Amino acid sequence: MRVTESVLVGLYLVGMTVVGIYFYKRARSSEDDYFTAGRSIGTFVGAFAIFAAIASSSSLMGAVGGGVALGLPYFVTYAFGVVGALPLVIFLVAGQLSKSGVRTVPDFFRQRFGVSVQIVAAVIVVLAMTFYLVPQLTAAGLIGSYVLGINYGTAVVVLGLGFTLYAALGGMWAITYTDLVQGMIMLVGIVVLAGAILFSRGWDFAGLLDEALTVDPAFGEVTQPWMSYFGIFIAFIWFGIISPSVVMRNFASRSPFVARRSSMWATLIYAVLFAAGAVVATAGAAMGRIDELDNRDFIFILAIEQYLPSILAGIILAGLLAAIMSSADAMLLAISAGVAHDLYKGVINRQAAERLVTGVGLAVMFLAVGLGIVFALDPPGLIAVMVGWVGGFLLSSFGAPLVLGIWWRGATTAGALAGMVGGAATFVVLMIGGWFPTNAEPIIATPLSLALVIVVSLVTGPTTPRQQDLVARYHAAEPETVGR
Amino acid sequence: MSTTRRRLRNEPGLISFVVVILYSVFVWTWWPADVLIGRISLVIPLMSLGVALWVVLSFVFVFWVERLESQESVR
Repeated sequence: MRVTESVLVGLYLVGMTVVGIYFYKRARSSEDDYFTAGRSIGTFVGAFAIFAAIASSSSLMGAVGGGVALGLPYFVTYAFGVVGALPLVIFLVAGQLSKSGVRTVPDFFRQRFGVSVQIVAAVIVVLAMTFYLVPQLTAAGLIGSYVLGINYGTAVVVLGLGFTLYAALGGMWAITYTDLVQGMIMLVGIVVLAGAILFSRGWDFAGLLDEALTVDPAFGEVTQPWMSYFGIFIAFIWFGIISPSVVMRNFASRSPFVARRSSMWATLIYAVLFAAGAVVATAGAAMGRIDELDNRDFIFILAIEQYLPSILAGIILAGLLAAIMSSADAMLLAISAGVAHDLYKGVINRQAAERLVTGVGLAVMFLAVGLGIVFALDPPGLIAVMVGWVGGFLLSSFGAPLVLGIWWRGATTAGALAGMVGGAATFVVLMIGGWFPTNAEPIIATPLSLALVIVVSLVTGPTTPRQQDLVARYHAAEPETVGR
Repeated sequence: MSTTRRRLRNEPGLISFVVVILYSVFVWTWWPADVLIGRISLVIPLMSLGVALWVVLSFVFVFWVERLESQESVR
């Protein structure tokens, strides 16, 4: 057990739980407070919160581990895709979704297309977000077992229940404010680690890269089929739009103006994170220890161990946990909203009291994390690959119906349903079939979903006047001073 | 709130999106995986440049749309 690191990580976990308890009463007062923090989040808090929600363990451990194992092009592809995710959000959906006034992604589908699409969307959200917990719990287990000196399985259970506690208690309020802290820790942590690495090399990045290429001559080369890189790219660049845990941040913003500015600053923060991550990945390759690891994502922790004193290592490890928790809590909230708000209140019990709905949401979070823990005890792949699957599945399901639902008046309910079900089913069949390289499934499933939305809409159109009015409302001009 | 909608060709969001698509198509159709510069594949600097482009585009878009909304609210 590493005492200094354990104390720092322990203090961090206690701090996050205190935030959850602090916001408990406010969060349970209404559904708006529990799921969207009363739609009152400003630009500064919102920027770090949306950055922390999208930057998971995958952006730190996963991208670095994947980069060292599969080469620098893999790492840069990751950055090329995921740093573009938030710009796509603001170009195509942030302001419009904020104007829609809904609370969740399935809520949007109900507003635009009706209850049938909402139900399918809620089921997809719950499935995808539950599976998305697996790589987060895997990373938590790796860090926990390293720091606390306990076995991997126990670490998964303890840390999984730990972050569920504050998310379940404090809802979006707690999640947003813990994400603010977590986002800052992540950013500072990775920049400090990259700085320590470069400082130890006399600020000579070229020399470090040269050393990495000497240890592993394939580090700078493309080692995988083109489809693997392209599949990762399109799954990640669309991730901000199709991931309910990220999209819900737009609903928490005070106004469309704030939603856009939050994503803008978060994009810059994310780019800085990956610039520092490139230094860590290069140092990881130069260490030449990737082949001795059972789990190659662990290389990130080895870099921390090699380059930092224990007190700084503790802070960085807390930062890694922050990355995991800040994304996992947002996923938990999306799952919770999918079941409690979209399925329970939206379909099963429309008269349910708000306190009952938030109570159902709280219980669902614990069920979901339990399921995630079961899978994470024997993870099915590299963290980055697992995240790629989730991104690809959501893109194949939601990408076309969501974007066309906002931008095309002609998108009909039948078209959205066909695109959503067709895309999701195609992705699952291709993934199970294993005919394509890893993470390449959305290259087929997404265009198919897009074609289905367009063709079926044209056949079943026109849309109702109400649907056409909704699209006009999403794009209505916003008075200059509202909500700044 | 006005419900007038800008013409599609004047939508900053769509124009910015088209720029993203064009640069992405350029990188993924060219994909110079075997061209090495100092022992690293050319795809690395190409995609790194793309990351910088995404950041710049997000700032350009936000200030552009705010300016448009400011003009529209005055009308």
